[in-house]
Amino acid sequence: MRDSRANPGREHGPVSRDKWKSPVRGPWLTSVFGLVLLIGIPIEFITGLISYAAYNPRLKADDPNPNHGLFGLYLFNWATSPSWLYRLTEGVHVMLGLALVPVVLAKLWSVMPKLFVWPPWRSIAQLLERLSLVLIVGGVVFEMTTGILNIDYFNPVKFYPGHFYGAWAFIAGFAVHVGVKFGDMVHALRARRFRTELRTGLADTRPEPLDGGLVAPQPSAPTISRRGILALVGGTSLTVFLLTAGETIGGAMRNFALFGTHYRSPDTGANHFPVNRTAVAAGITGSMTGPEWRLVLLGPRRVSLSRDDLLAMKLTTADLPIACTEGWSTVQRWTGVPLSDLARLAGAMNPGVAELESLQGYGEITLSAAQVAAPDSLLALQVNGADLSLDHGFPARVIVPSAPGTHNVKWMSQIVFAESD
Amino acid sequence: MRWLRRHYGAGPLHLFGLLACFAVAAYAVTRVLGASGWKGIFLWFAVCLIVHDLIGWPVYTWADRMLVRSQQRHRGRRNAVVPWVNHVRVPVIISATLLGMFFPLIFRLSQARYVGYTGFTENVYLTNWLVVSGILFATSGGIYILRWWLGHRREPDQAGGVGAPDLTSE
Repeated sequence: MRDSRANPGREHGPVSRDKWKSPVRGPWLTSVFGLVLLIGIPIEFITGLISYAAYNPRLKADDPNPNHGLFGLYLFNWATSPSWLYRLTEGVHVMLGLALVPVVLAKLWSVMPKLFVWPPWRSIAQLLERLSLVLIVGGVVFEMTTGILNIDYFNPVKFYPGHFYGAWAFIAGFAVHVGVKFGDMVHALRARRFRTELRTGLADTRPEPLDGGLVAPQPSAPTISRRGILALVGGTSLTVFLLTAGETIGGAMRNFALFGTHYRSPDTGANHFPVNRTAVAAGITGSMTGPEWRLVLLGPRRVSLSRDDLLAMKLTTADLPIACTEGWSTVQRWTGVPLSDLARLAGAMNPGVAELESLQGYGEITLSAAQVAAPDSLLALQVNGADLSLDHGFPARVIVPSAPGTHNVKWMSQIVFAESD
Repeated sequence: MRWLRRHYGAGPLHLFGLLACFAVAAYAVTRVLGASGWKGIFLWFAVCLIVHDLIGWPVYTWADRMLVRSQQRHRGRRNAVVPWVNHVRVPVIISATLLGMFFPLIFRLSQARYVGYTGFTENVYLTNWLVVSGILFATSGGIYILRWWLGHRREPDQAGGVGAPDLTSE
């Protein structure tokens, strides 16, 4: 459905078409940005859905969106293998999302004249289409802002319902937009060869043929070539990526993640990795975690274990990541008692779900049966060969392969094991 | 079918797709109404829709036109000038994007929560942004000087011309 109303002189709307001056704005640039987003947005949506599923929200205690209704139809038991799965999906979701921000802004720039097209609609079909733009334009800005502000710890709105339900409203508008515009995009991309455009410098930059709304009827002289625009947008995306992605990729790159929240680590030695929630902020004191600390296991039997009791049990060591919803992660070597061993100690021979309680007094988590049974799901007592520091959860914390960071509860006090039915 | 095209403006698939889209969005609205803080969510969505289009846009369009116009004035003076406008645009845009994305960290708006989560303060982010911006401007300036010098060497008696014909940013 191509727009064939090319009447540049007859605009009576709030912004007439000759006010738009850019000589490079046109269907080709729009389509290049559109193609990038056509690939990137579905990846964002799917990794986002996965991120919600990873919370195992069908276990009521773990559901940040209890009202999810039909939007929860896709939910499934979150996997425990491979152990790096959540780290991958959430790292992609956040870091790709950040890197796409310049592309989204460029796309919005490139279609701005269409916002002011006059008359606002010429048919009911066109009116409905323009209304759906509310969902895609408002939605993408809403998703980007709620996501980014959340990872910056600055939430003007409730993050979990806003970001999750907003994603559905946005993707509905996105699906319509792709359906309506896909043909136009392919047509525009075919009109110019990409390699030719990459060789076209400023002196050879010419406006595209007049179309139904994007190309300026009276453009200024070009000040930047199309390849210059692509380099600018790509360069901005790359810069954002280089300054943030290191805090999940780790290694030497973490030092460059200057706008990440977790590129710095306290302590030296074994506990030198990023903290998420300090002991002070959680209200944990040394007296709560001293020699009188006991881990209470509840099941068919009640068992009370001191830290020495736990250290005397058969210990397993595993390399497991802590991966947070904010997008950062860190992989460390944990040593502790497998949860399935603790379950059997409490008399649950065929363990079902487990409820974790912490000295914090909040943040209770329910683990699924699969998570309890996984051989690498540990009650960790040590990290990298040394005792956990207080900030990292001393005397004991849970670590579960591929679970979101909040499910790796620190400062454990009690576990309630259920028999599976 | 023809009736639909004449009175609606497109085919049945178009109508169906749009109705499905609005149905999903309406359902999302009902889910939000059940969540705490729903007023804030609707308000924020409206803000997102309005602010970028009606406030941000005119501001930076004006700024960019000023920039381009001032370069045109320079060229009129017949100095041997490589167009410098993109050497200002690029670092400004990248630096402004970083500022726009990370302003809560840079301006320490979430300091209390940040300290509680990480054990560090947000004081480092302003410095990070200034250092990164400095590097961006220095790199852009360095490339400009290099291109100006190369342009001068190739055609030392050509004034007001363009030595290097194109602007690819870094």
